[in-house]
Amino acid sequence: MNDTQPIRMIDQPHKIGFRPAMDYLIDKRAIQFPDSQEFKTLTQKVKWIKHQSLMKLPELLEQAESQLQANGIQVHWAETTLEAQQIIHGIIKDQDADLLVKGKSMVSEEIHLNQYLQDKNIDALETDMGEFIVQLAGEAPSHIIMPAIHKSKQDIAELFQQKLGVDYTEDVDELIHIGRTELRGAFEKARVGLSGVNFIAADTGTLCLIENEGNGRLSTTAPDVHVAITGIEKVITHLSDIPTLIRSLTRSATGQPITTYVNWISSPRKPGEKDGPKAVHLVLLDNGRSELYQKEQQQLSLACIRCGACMNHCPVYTRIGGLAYQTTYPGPIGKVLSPHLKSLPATPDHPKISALCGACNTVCPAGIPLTDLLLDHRNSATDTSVIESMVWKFWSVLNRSPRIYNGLMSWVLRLYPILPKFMGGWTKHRKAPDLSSKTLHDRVRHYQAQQDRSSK
Amino acid sequence: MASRQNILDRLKAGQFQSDMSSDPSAKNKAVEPKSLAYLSEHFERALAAANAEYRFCTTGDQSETIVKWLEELKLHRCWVSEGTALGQALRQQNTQNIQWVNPVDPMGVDRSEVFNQIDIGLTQSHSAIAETGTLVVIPDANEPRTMSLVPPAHLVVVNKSDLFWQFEDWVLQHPEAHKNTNVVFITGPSKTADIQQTLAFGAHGPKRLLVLIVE
Repeated sequence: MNDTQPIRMIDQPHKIGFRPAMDYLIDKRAIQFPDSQEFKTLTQKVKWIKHQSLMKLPELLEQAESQLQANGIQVHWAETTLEAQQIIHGIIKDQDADLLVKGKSMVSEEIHLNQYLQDKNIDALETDMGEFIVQLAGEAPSHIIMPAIHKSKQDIAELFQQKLGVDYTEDVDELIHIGRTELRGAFEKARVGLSGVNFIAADTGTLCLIENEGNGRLSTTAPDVHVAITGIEKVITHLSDIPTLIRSLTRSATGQPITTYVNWISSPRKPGEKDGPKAVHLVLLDNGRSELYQKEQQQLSLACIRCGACMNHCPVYTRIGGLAYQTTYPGPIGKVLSPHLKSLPATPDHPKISALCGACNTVCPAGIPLTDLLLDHRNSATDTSVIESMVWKFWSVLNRSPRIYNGLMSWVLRLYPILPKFMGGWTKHRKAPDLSSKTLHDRVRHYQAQQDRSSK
Repeated sequence: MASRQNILDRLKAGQFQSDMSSDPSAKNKAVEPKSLAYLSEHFERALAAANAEYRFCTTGDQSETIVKWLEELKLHRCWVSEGTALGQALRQQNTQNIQWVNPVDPMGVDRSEVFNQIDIGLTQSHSAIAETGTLVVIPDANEPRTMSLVPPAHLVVVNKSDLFWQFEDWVLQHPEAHKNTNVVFITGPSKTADIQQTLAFGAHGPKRLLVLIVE
């Protein structure tokens, strides 16, 4: 299949490894949750809020839509990534604009918006510092919260020197200042801005965005038109639930009690107000989510609040890095979600590449049983291959019957010296292993017989 | 509209199964009301932790304190509304070094003044949250959204009597807040750790957040 996304390692020029970065995030989170019981209670509260909202998701979406419309916000529904791309392109075209300033939005990554707009001669500029760096490098984000976490400051210094024509500097304050100056010009002239959404409150029709840099606020304030895009699962029942969700989200994500900015947007600019967009659009993306909603157990992944804690604590993510997954969402939640957003055959490695250690389950602020969902994927994947399911059936029979097992083993040992020694990848670089002439069972039996004799 | 219907139909054909049967918040213990002294002490600590700078003043010496602070920091072009009592009081102050600029139409055709020639934006806050050192800013026609966002520094005035303990309390006590176009909860200056986890201030918003607490 052409669009299959196998997992493979991708190295950076200045390899820094993910371990230090993940340790930094793990430690910062741990400081915010000194009491594990308090974390468990908070997780129950978040799970309750998300589950209550998901249980009435279709009705809640309808309520949110009418509330948003009453507030003057235009609501669009997109079943597919292409439809979302077209809706956004249409809004930009109506403004005769050729530049879009973007606040951070993983859903815009999911629909590959930048590439689509570039083909239509519209410049989509990422303004989150991490996203800006990744876009300059022509890469994808490797982490949903810290997109450029795979890059060292040397990588970034070289990148800025090459692409922006500035002097080489490894000073982080200077590098950020260079980024700020570069992007200011875009905010000054852009007429359309795009952002993601963390939560939509259905009762008030309010969009809630959280961030530290201020580019999210700029993208939603400076341009004449603001386009917000998010998945249909982001709607919650009450605006008053937001403090509880944020209390857990920011602590889990970056170990902050709250982000620098929590931004509530409830309407476009009102008469007399001097700034803010004159029109606000919300694009609600499905892209596989409504089918996921119909799947028992797997549907629990819709409670995700996108904090990234599961990837920070994942030994596999830490070893291979986010780019290796080749999908928008990496790490444990990415391994659960990507088969739904793409398809299980298109992401064959995703459910398999896990040690099922369960670290992700213990830190998930929405109580998602990630390893159960991965196992469920594995079962679904196994069902599709006749040979693999026959192998497992044989293995199961063998291990349940001592007589067949011992009989077969003794024949394998006897015939081993004359059997061919090709074992796929193993014997490509190594010799085939030598086997003992007796099985462990035989040796134990022999040993026990000796013990019995000597004790008599 | 076909997409809307298709999405809703699929959702209505499904059912979300939760393993939870009761609201864990029902067991919440009532939070004891905090004294103003407690709130204030906690607010100061949280402001410092969030890298905000703060000073105190009284209603009587508010304008003098602001002028002194701006002069110390050598900030000359200050964006402050003519339409507020504070903006009017500041314009009565005897100062040669500070120019008070009224936000006329900040997001009009020529944005270069807004983006490049203002040293600091000065706004009032609606209230504040003590636990996290958060300023609640509700922009309006007098004090537009850009004032607390675009200049390299933001000075925000808060009355000590407007302190709330937690974000949860604030939201419950302001059920009409969503009727405002925009409500911003600000905690410290703009920042990022996107380059090798090294904290840097002034990523896109103000590099300095100055908080004046009116006692």
